[in-house]
Amino acid sequence: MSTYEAKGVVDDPVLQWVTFRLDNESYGINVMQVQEVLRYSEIAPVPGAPSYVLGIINLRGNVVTVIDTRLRFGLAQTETSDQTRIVIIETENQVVGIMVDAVAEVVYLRQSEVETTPNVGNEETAKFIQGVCHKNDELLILVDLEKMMSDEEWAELNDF
Amino acid sequence: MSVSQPYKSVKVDLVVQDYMDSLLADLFPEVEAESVSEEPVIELEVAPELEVAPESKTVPELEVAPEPKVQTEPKPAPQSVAPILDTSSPSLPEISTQPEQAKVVASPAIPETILAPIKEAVPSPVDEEVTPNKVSEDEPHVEVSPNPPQELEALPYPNAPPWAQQEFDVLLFDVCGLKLAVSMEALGRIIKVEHELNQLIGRPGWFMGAYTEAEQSLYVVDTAKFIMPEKGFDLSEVGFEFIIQLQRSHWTLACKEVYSTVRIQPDQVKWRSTQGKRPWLAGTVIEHMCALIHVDSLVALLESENT
Repeated sequence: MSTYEAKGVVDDPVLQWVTFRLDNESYGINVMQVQEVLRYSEIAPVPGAPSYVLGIINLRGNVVTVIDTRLRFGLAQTETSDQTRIVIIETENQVVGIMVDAVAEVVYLRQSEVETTPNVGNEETAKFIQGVCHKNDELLILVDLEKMMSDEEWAELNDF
Repeated sequence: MSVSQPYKSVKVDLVVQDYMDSLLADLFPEVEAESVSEEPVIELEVAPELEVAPESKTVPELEVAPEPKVQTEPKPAPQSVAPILDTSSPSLPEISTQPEQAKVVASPAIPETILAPIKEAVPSPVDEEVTPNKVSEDEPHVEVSPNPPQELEALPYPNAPPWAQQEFDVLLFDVCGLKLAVSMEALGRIIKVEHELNQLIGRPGWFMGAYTEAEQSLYVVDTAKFIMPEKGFDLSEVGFEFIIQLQRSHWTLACKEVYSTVRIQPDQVKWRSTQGKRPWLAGTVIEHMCALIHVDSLVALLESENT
């Protein structure tokens, strides 16, 4: 765990977040869920896969499913660029890739710096956000990866 | 976000006029209800005793209301009706003999326009034979408590919030041609929008995004979409220049233009007696043709909004 608990900051732990860009907004995911970050490479489509699945990639002999994060977040589609990255994450005991516009940096945030967002709306995507935080004069939206998909959807990904 | 785009080419005046009309209709339900409710009141009370007055189904019968028949009848009137008699018709001398609780009902919370048809209907001969149960079921006024809370009685404007019992200042601002007012007491800050909003995924259409000001996240509400969704305005397209913070909450209302502050006397406001479908509306200031926002209710509504 990348906290400063050893320094006695138990009540207000510091977490590291990998930040990425998506549709001009900055998002953060817990660094402990990130395995690696890849440049965009060809993604093989999977017939019959859900719309949010872009396809699969070969990661050193392992098949990894890549999720269309823009589509999952309800954002408009865009072309890939040199900055496009596939972030390999491990969550719900699965390894998947999420495609993002760019990966920026790793930031340290105290738990107390994280604000909750208003719980309004019925959209499932609203649950993806676990909080927001101000960092470097911009708003960082913290994503709860485990809520990005339902249990059934995670299970479905296993089949690819 | 388009901060400085021009207004859409819509007939704003007509739309806003329509909206103000609907606000007023909302504020004066009794005006509409008067004509409509008269019939049900009569029918309900007349129904059980057709033998007494076949002609009593008609409206004119109500005008016979102040007939002395009631006076001569010591028969106890239904509990819910008696208080109304007390308040309404000083011409009925025996009303003063009614129990003490009847006087309490003379609460100013009961609009005179609502009382009028009841006053007239009660003394009609038909009413004498109406069973108390029948009246209490059918009478809309039964909902009015015969013993209103003591503090309400003490307030000069029972339907107004506590801060509006005396003169108060409001800020006027414009949202797509609709003039809104928010009391200075409930006003947090007025912020000129100088940078883009952050978009938060999965939020309702009226949720425009987050605006960072002094390291604080403020959540911006598309005021037009929220309070008059049926009009089809979209502040993202129309443009907005200011956000108005409600109290010290995270919630702000987007608007195109901020006017001045004006001092309002409580009697200038047509206060809303019930929350109805627009809990955010405290009342209407006819003189300024603006809707006065009930900030507490609006914030509560925003916090609980699930659509």
